[in-house]
Amino acid sequence: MTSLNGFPPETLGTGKPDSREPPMIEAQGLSKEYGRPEARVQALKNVDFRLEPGEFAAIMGPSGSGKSTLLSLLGALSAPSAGRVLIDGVDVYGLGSDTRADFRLGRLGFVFQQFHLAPYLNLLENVMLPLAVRKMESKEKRARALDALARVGVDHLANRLPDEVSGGEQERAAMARALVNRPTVLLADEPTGNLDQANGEKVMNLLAELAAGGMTVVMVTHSASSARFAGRILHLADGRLVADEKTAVQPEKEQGGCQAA
Amino acid sequence: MGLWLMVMRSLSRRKAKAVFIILGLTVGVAAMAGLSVLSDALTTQVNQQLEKYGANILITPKSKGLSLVYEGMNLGGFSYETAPLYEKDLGSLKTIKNSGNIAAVGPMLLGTVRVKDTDAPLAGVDFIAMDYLRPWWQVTGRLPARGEVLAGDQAARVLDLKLGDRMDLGGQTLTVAGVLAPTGSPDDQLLFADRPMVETLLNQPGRLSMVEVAALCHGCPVEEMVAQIEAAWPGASVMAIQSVVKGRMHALSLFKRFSWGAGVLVTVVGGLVVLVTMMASVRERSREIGLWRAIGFRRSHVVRLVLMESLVLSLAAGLLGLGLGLGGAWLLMPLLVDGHGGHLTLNPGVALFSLALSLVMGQLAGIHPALAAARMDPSEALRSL
Ligand SMILES: Nc1ncnc2c1ncn2[C@@H]1O[C@H](COP(=O)(O)OP(=O)(O)O)[C@@H](O)[C@H]1O
Ligand SMILES: [Mg+2]
Repeated sequence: MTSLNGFPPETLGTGKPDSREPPMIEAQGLSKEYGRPEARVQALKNVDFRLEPGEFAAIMGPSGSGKSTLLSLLGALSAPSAGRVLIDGVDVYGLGSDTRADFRLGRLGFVFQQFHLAPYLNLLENVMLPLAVRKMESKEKRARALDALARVGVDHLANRLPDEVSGGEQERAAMARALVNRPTVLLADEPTGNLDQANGEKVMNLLAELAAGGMTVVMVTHSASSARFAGRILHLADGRLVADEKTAVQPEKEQGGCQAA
Repeated sequence: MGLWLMVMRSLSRRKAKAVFIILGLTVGVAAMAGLSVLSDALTTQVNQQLEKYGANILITPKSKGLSLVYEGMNLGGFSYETAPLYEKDLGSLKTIKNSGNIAAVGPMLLGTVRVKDTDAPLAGVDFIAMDYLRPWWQVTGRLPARGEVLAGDQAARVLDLKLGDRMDLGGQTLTVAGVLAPTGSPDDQLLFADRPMVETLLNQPGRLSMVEVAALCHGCPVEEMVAQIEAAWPGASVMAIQSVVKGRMHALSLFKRFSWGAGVLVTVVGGLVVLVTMMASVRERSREIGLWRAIGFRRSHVVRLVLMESLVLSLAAGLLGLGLGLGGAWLLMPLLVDGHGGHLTLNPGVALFSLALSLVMGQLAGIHPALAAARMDPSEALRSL
């Protein structure tokens, strides 16, 4: 466990032997306030950390502690009130709106708690959604989307509508959509929140696999059993990063003591 | 998959809502197209009446004083203060420039005769021409041949004439071959007979009291024809009978203007409805739009998606409205246009205009929701329910 302070991350060792490798994600003094000046909510307070390429991090904390807020800041979705987010060295909030959208399109993948599959599109079309704004042969789009569906094991359901498949299958389609542009960073908000144990474990194994393949994965979760698949657990409380825990990435083995006090 | 497919899929999933969104526009286009079709049909009908039915040019002798003639019919005793018209001059009608527009010529000789000790007006006419000039005549019995008369409704009553009655007229015995149903015109007062016989009876060979001319007048210049006839036939006073037609035309042009106004107004209101409903639908879909932004759609992509949706909707509204307008006109046609209804023709200009107006209104109405959608927070997609 490493307690963090306000020092610039460059001076802050992560404790990893390969810490000289440039980080994939770097949060620098991140703060986020919501609401009008007279009714401010401080959702995040001065959060610093860095994640290496291929790292699989879980963000944990009680409800309202700022997990989703942190994820949206890391995902280039909403600008922090203070601080910076660097992804692969790019200061994402220094980018203009269009460039930032392009950055999300090309570099980031999102998996949402409610999956957010379009009910009027079949799974294949849902997976093709991020390709809709890319200049690409429609054959190529199909091939890529089928590829992504195959990777999560639901390519046989390509022509089904979301409400014609199970929750676990919807989740995987949502993951396929996040993967279709081959992102370097995958961000997931409670990916197992709506799944049973068995499906949850499948999804976790998939995320771990992706991380092992070099993708940086950040996942918000409530569940300790999900978090043990991650190599790193960031604990939030009341908008502050209160603990940064590294675990040996051995999801097959029973791990104890993952939870911070 | 591209943006168009997204739009089409999304709309096909929300058909009921889509119909609701376009209702106003559809009604507007339907009103424009339907009313235009109806007013066109009415205009065509009036034009056909002009062409086919009734006289619209009247030739009378040049009079020195005021004559007691109303719509060509002598109302009182007939006097010869003026030089009469001559049958031989009828040929001059064929010489005018617009002679091709003349559909029928009805010469008439009027005089009074004594029947059953009463003075009665007698008109010598060409019954073949009357067929054209008085299509509204309803004859009980039949049109008279030589030696027969046709009695106007009032004349028959006053003179107590019935079908088949015989009467003495200037030394000849004539049979009543037909009686006219009331027309509400001076025809009711008259006895009609074949003109050559009336010439003999009145001892006015080769003379005419007046000539009715039916001009084919769909767009033909009646006023010019009047001038042409006046020039070709000295001694004739020529005038156009247009009051009735002009009145109908005026009413029609009012109706046309009204239907345009109503159609445009409804379409504009329909555009507002589109604005409001699309605004609501965009707000409802804030999560979906947030998702689009989150996965990397630019603001301009979102704007495009919403505008494409309103384009598809307003195109559908336009086409549906044209169909409904035509259908409605087809249903209403028998009520408004007498006879066998006339034919339904949609002016392509009108169709294009109403379609274009629908599209323009749809796009205008889409701008505000599109911009609102583009401003939506992409992190909305992360908000849990
Ligand atoms: N859009 C928002 N406007 C105002 N307050 C917000 C908004 N989003 C989150 N908050 C507040 O910020 C705090 C952190 O929220 P969130 O990041 O969603 O927490 P978590 O995901 O850990 O439950 C909460 O107090 C929440 O009410
Ligand atoms: Mg949350």
